[in-house]
Amino acid sequence: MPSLRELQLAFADALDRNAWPDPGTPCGDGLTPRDRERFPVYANNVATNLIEALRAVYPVVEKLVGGKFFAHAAREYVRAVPSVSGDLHRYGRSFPQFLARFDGARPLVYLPDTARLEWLMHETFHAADQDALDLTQLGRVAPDRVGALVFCLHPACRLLRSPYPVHRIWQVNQPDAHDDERVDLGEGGVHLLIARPNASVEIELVSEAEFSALTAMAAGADLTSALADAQARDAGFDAGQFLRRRVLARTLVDFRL
Amino acid sequence: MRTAASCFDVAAGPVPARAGIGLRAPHYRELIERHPDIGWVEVHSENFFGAGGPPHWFVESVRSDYPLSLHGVGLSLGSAGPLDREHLTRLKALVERFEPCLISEHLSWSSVVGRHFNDLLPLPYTEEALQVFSAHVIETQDFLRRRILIENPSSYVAFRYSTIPEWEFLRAVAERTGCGILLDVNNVYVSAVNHGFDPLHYLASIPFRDVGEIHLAGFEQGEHCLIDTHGTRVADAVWALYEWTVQRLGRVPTLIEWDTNIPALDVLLAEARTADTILETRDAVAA
Repeated sequence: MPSLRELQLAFADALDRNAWPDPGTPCGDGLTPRDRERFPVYANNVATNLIEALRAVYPVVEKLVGGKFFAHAAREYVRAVPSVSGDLHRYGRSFPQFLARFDGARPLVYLPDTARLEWLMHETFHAADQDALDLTQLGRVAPDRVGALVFCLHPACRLLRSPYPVHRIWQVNQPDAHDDERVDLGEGGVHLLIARPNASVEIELVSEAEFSALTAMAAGADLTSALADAQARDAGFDAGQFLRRRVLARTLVDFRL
Repeated sequence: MRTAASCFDVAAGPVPARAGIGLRAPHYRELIERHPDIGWVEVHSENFFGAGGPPHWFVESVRSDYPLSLHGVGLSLGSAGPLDREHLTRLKALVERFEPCLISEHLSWSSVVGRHFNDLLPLPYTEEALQVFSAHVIETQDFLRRRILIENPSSYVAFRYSTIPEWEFLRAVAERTGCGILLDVNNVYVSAVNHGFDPLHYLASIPFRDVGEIHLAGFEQGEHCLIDTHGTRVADAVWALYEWTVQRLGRVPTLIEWDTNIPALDVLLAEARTADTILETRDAVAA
């Protein structure tokens, strides 16, 4: 009799091959011919659970490519990328990169970035809560130390840059959008902040300069260097107005010196 | 051999001996707005494994209105390797924050050497599996500092290696670990038909003092066997087994589960009322 571990490895192998467990393997030898016929119920359940997890995260991708093509792509992804967590919400992070290389999806050049947007929105939805920045504490910082402040973004904030207007693609593919809405890819690239300022996940279009400052802050840069990044892209960048707006919108929720 | 775990309370707060419903995302808002008269609700623990956000606000709101049960599908207590401590840590955070009335997991496995299959896979019922499973239940109860319930699965294959009937295996796990049993009457029926055993013999073998919860759901006929889809109403044959079980065990908190082709909330509430009626009838008989 095989050990529990040997049996589970053989069972896993048969699931991966999506085939009846072969006689001569610990799993195949453990089943009657009748039960070998029933084995695909498990293979099917496993694949369905993962495909449904992808459908839940990527509804706009599914709408763009159609249900049939999405099911095909999802099945291939499930075959290529195993789940590594008992929490299905973590599955599917690399689906955007997979779509970028997937035959048949390549003509839709904006598809991978649209998928990236959906994954980031998924992360934002489940991210931690945090209170607004304590302005009293901030007011106590000595003026000559302000440049050394390192601001922290709200844990639900995500940043995405794309050469395509993916926020518009997302909007016109919502269930309540009008059928006649169209997106002109010529609208050009976008810089997006995905956040949860209130109860729901929102996508905000931000300027390239603001995006640079926030990206620098997210990477741990101090205020002086984050603002330098922004001003390199827009000499007229108003640092004071930027900080006020981002604290009020709870994009910046903490700081350290 | 009982461990320290058996002295943990089974519940934080009372679980009404009534019917509850398994709560899934399509019904979140409606439940909070309508506040229907149901005894309690159960959610899948892993749906709230994120760090925060709307899912947590939702559970908080539901928890203030109803007793809450946490039902896990991903801990994989039956895996040959070590338990996933990160998974356990996340579960503990939920338990501490929401103080569920019940915590449950399955008599199954779903991962091996870091690969996860996110499904309830069948165990061989051997002495080795019993030792592995029981050790994992003890580890979980010690870590959570709560007693947990273990649910019997539906299964489609049975290993020739098994030396212990499933009902005896489940009873032995309860004896060795002090855990309770979540008796899924639909799963007993599905497995009984698939493997050709007598469901009444199974149900009669379960020690009633260990049963902390009953599950009911719908199955469908697959090509080669019955499949536990949780996608239809509870079958008449399962209602009959449930009535028999309630006559024997008394009033046990009972949950209606529905996970695929999720219908209107009212359909679930109607199933819960049917279960409530059976529970109330038992009281009348007992009185």
